[in-house]
Parts: sequence; C-alpha cells; structure tokens
Amino acid sequence: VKILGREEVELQDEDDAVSLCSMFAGSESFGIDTGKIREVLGKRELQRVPMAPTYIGGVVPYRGEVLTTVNFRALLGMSEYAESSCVLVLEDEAGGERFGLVVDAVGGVVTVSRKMLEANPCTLEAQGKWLFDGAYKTQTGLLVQLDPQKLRPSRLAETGLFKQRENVQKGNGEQL
Amino acid sequence: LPDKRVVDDLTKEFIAESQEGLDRMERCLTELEIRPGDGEQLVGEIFRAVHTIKGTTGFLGFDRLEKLAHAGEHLLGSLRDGKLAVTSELISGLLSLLDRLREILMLIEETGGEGTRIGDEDSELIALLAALNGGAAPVAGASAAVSGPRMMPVEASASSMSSAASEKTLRIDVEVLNRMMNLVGELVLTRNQMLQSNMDASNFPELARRLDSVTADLRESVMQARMQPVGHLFGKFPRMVRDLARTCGREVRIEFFGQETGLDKSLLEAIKDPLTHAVRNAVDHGIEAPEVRVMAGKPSEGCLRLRAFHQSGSVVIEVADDGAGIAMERVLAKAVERGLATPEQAAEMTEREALQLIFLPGFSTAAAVTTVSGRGVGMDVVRANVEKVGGSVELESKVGMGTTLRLRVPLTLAIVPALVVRSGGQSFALPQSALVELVYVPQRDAKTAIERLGAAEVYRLRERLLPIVWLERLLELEKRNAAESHGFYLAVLEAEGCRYGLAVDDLLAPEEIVVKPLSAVLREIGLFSGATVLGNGTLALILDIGATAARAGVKPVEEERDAVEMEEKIEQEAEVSLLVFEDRARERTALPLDVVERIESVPLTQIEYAGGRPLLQYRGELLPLRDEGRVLMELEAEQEGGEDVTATVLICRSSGKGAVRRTGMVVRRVLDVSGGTLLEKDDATGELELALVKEKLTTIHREFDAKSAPEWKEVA
Repeated sequence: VKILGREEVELQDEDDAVSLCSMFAGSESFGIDTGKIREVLGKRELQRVPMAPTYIGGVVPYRGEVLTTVNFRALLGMSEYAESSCVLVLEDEAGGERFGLVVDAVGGVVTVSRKMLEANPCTLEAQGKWLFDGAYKTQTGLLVQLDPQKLRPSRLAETGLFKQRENVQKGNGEQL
Repeated sequence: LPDKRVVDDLTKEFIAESQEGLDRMERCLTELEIRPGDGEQLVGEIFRAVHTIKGTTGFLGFDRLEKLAHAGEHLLGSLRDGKLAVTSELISGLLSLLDRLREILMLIEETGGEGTRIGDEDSELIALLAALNGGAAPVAGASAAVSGPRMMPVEASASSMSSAASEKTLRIDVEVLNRMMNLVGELVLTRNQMLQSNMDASNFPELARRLDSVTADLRESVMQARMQPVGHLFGKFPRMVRDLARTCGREVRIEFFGQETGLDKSLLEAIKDPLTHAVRNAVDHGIEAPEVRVMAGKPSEGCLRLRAFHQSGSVVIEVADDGAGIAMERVLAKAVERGLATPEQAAEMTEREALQLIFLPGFSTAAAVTTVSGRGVGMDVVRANVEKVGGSVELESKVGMGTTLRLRVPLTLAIVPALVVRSGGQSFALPQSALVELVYVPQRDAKTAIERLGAAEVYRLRERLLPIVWLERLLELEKRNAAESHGFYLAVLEAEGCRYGLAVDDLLAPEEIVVKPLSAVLREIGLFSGATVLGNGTLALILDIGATAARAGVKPVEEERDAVEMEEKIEQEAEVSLLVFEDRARERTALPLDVVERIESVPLTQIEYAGGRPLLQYRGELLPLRDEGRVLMELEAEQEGGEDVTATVLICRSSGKGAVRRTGMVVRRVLDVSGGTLLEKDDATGELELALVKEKLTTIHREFDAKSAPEWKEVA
C-alpha cells in the first residue's frame, strides 16, 4: 500500500510539473514555458531601428531572416541594460510570427509544480496584468510567468498600453 | 472548338484582375470620403481600376460592363480634372457602380455570360452617374431590348481564392529542383565536416571555401528556379492584339523575339500591366489605319515587335511598332493645352525632352477618345509601375517610322545593388537605382555649403537649390561629434519625382544586398523597405527613398524640373565641363570631362618603355602615355631617392574611326572639375586653345574633344 501511494504521488508530480526557462531583467526573475521557446541565442549585438516604439529592442539576423526583438526591460519601464543582452527566439503556436525577446540574462531550466502558480494580484497595474501570467512561489522567491503570445510585437502595438511608458521613458532620457 | 478554352482563360484572368481592381477601388472610395483633401492619387487609382475594366471588356464583348464602366469613367474623369467636388452622393453613386460591376463579374464567372436582360436596369444607374456628372452624359448605346433570366446573387469567395493561389504557385523544372537538392546535401555534408573539425584544423580554410562555393551555387539555382520565361507573359498578346486590331480597324501582325529570356516571377507579375498598356497603346495609337499606311507607302499590315533580351545585368523588354511615330508638334501642343508646359518652354524643348512629356500624368495624344485607350492613363502608369520595381522606361520615336518603348527591369528583386552609408553610428542601405550622385562636403566648407531658406536647408548643386534632409535628424539618431570632424556626404536621391540631398556622416562600400522583409511593427514606421545582412555580418536597414522624402516634406517637382533642366542645358551649351590639372609647372591645363574615363594612381614601376615611349598595361590593353610636362622624369628622380612613387594617369578615350582608342596622360596633379568658358581665338591666344575656368587662364587639349563629340550625338 505504501509503495502504491508513493507512486501515485510521483505520478501526480509529473503531471503537474512545468519546465520553465528562467530569465532575468533587473532584479526580478521571470519564466517562460520551455515548449514555447524556439531557441536561446545568447548574447547578441542588436541593430537598433530608429523611430520604432521603445519596446522594440532592435533587429538581429536569425536563420536568414531579420528577427524583430522586444526589449523586456523597456516593457517594464526600466532603463537600458548596460551590458550586452541575451536574445530568446519565440514563436506563436501557429508558427506565424517569430520574434525575439531581449532580457539581461538567461538562467537554467526550472521545474516547478503547477500548484505553486498563483494569479496576478488585483493591485497590479494594467501593463503588468498584460505582461505577467501569474507567479510561481518557489523557495528562492517569486518566479513570474510570461505568456509569449502577449509579448508579440504586433499585439503590444495593438494594446496601446505601452505607448505612455514610451513618453515617460523619453522624458527620463532627456533629463539624464 | 480550340478557341473556346482560350476565351475561358482570358475571361478568368479578366475576372480575377477586375476583382482585384474593384477591391482596390472600394478601399480608395472609402478613404476618399474620409479624406477628400488628398484625393488626387486616390481618384487616379479608382479611375485606373474602372478604365482597365472598360478597356478589357471592349474586346471580350461584355457590353453591359463596358457601358457601365464607360459611364463611370466619364464621371471619374470629371472628378480627376477637378470639375466635381467629392460629395457623399458622389461616393455612394460610385459605390453602387462598384457593386453592380461586381455582380456582373460574379455572373460572368458563374454562367459565362453577363446575364442577357432587358437592359434598362443599368440605364437607371448610368443616368444616375450622368446626373452626378452634371448632366454631361455619354450617349447611351442603342438599347437593344433583350429579355433573359433574372440575375442571381452568387458567392464570390471561391474565385478570389483561386486567383490568389495561381499567383503564389510556381512551375519549376524538376532538374533545377534536383540540383537544389544536391546542393543542399552538399551543404549538410560541409556543415558536418565543419562541426567535426575545429577552427585551427588544417583543412578548415578549404572547408570554408567549399561552403562559400556551395552557397553561391545554391543561391544561383534558387534564383534560377524563380526565373520564368518572358514567353509566359507574351502568350496572351496575340489574341489581345487581334481583338484590339479588329476593334480599332487596324491590321496588325505580332512578332516575338527572345521569349525564353528569364525574369524573376515577381517582376514578371509587376511588368504585366505596364506591358499590356504598352501593347494596347501601340495598336491603338501607334499603328495607322490600313489606308493611311498604304498612302504612306507602307504595307497595309502593321508590325508589332515584342523583344526581350539581357543587357548589362537587366532585362530589356521592347515594344516596337512601325506605325506613325509620335509627332513632336502634337505632343508639344497637347502639353501646352494640358498646362504641362508653357508655350515658351515648349518652343525650346528638344525632341528627347518632348518625348518625356508623354510620361506625365494626365497626358494623351489620341485625337479621339476610344473605348480601348486614350483617357490619359497609360504612360504615366507604365512608368510608375516599372519604376516601382527598380526599372526604367525609355521611349524612342521617329515620325513615319514607328515608336519603340523599352522597359528595363532588374533581373531580380531579391538582390539589389545598394550603397551603404553611416549616420549616427548606424548603417543604412540606399538602393543604387535612386542614387543620382554623391557630394562630399569637407569640414571647412560645412558651415558655408548649407544655406538656409527660412527653416529649410538647401545646398547649391550646380547653381540649383537642393533641399537637404539630415538622416540623423529625421531618424532622431544621436549626434556624433567625432563623425562631424571630417565633414559629411550628400547622397543626391531621386524617387517618385522628388529630388533631395540626404546628408549622411560617412559612405561605406557599395554592396549587392539581399533584401529581407521586416516584421509588421517595423513596416509601420514607414521609412524602411527592408533590412539586409552586410558583408561584415551586421544588419543594415534599407531606406525607402520615396517615403523618406515624403516624411521630410520633399514634394515632387516634376513640372518645375523640366524648366530647370532646360536652363541647365542652356548653361551647359555656353559652358564646358572641364577636368583641370597641372602637367607643366605653373600651368593649368584642362580636358573636356567626357573624354576622361578614369583617374588612376599607378606605381611608377608599372610604367614600361618601348622605343623610348612610355607605355602602361591597363586592363588588358596597352596604353601609350603622353607626358607633356615631363612628369615621369621628375618622378624617376624622386624614386632614386628610395621612395615608392606613384604617377597620376588620366585614362582618356578618343573614338577614332570605328574603334575606341585609349590614351594615358601623365599629370602632376588633378586640380578641379569645373565649368569653363572657351575664349575665342585671336592674336593674343595664338594657336593655343584657352579657356577661363573660375577666372583663371587654362589651356585646353582639343584633340580629344572633336572626336568624342559625334559619339555623344549617337547616344543621344
């Protein structure tokens, strides 16, 4: 009976387990389901695109294509990262739009239980609600889950949530 | 009947084309209602859609469509000429025309006929359109009362799907595909070997070389797969010309040459419409009626020649007829009548300039408006469409002998020659097709070279004011102080009738770039037409020249330009462009600029002697060198001092009888390129040819000039 019980627990765990690729922006850590990541490119030189929205990190060559990247720090309203950043390649399920996500660094793969996920707090501002998809309560701290679908450049442009932040950032930039 | 299938194909194509046109028309109509202010272009677009339908229905025999389209075109003509204002009644009238045209098209697709019917339901709509046009109605055709079944509404979705599919598919020779597969296999093998060996391995350079050659081969075969014979395009013309000739009462024979010439699929699509226009024009306006031809001593049957061939990296498609040619007086008279040129301008125009007038919007020489063409759309559209894909259009005409229209298009769209420039620390690619010339403004001149006219900055380029657009300001890039220290460059660009100078920090090498599309978000910025990976592995954005001009507020100057160009011509007649250099000490000498092909720096050791005369081996040719200032002797003395000395040699071209001969001219240094006025010969000048260049006395070498002149004339 004991052995049976243990097996059940393990099975439950496997069903429950989610592998997240952890990444960092500023002091916070985030995770994206590994199944939704196409490739981690590592540190890349980005070619900036003038006149583009601030959340566009630039373009980078990727397998014969020109990949548009989204700068995650800019989405969070943080200032630019001083060192060269890491690029992840994400793709939507239908394989339609391929884009890159620029973060400070990419960590390892973390396996967490679905049970540890908790929805966004109601006090979170609109931008945060758009970007974050709940958080996993791990022992080392909160691991915020991201939904790649919502990070797609075209969706970000549609929402219009990040336009204001642009202005704020620009203002800051000028002051500096 | 074997003919039936052809008709079906033609009709199908016509339906797909018309539906596309109508979709465009709908978009433009709605946009026009919102923004009637900038309607010119929109009205033009709508007009074209209706005009195309009218032109094609005429010979396909769809009377109902033709009558409707004719009425619509009439109304749109008034709208385009500014006789009517955009009102919501007008828009809804045009929209109901659009709906009716669509209905009939669907009916044709479904039943093969446009629904033989009583014929008064359309007349109501035609009357409405006429009323909107202020009563200036076209004469309604004799209403033959035909009874028939009622029209049925039909779903259109299937047809638009099928037409889209045909444009997206491509027929490829299996052999080409096999070769591609082989190359891909080799690519994989090379990759595997590269992965196994490391960078320091002795065979690594060889592997890299192989990778290079495999990729080059693969690229070539992919390009080849995209190539389609021009014959595909020519295929539909015989029937079209036959029907057209019948409608216009002409006898026309059509001949094809070079049908196997390959052209990129997308380009083939792009030149389809312009070519159709050109053929239609040739039959309708070019070739005369049989009796006129006989009177002129020509065979009653006219000949239309379609020729395709390669010429220096581009494909040329020629539409030549042996018709009446274009009468200069009529072109000029029409241009004056249409307000495209003033009578004074017209009187001074050369033949070549006058022919260019035909490409202006709103120009047509047809004496009578016919159902086939002659509403003033045509040549401007032809030029616009060809230029859109980076091509150009040339027109040549001899009265009584015929007209030749040449469409010149690049081999492929995917790879374009471009100039890479830097501004604000970033690289940008400018398509060479838009680049007219480059001007370097050194730091010491930077302050004075750019003048201000209100808020606008201008540069005097050969005494013409050129508006300046600073790339870094336009794109809000960071200003680099370091880059400023060596001055800046002006890339003189021309696109969509706009001419402006784009100020950039630095020029990098010209490159053949592979165009990559940008994502939707970046396309929305509207300034970049794509991106490319440069030779050094970095990305560069490709600047959309036309959009940049529009963003910076540069307006097309088409009409003005003719006047300015003329002025320039006059100036040029009095002045000669000269390359000024120094050969004898303390003396300035000059050569006409068009004689000099290149200026070369040649190490002195490469200059050889035979029979006491200096010679230079230059690109497989043996050039005799002229050294009137004894520069070589001086240089040799310098070289004995142990230095590596180079001599400056002007490579001059003199076209003798038949062959072009080249001569090298050794000079001390090149001073300037400038216009100069030739002095008349008198006692003071003696035998010397003298000129004033920037108010300094300069000797002119005349030997080259006289001989080069006839060649220039031939080209012109």
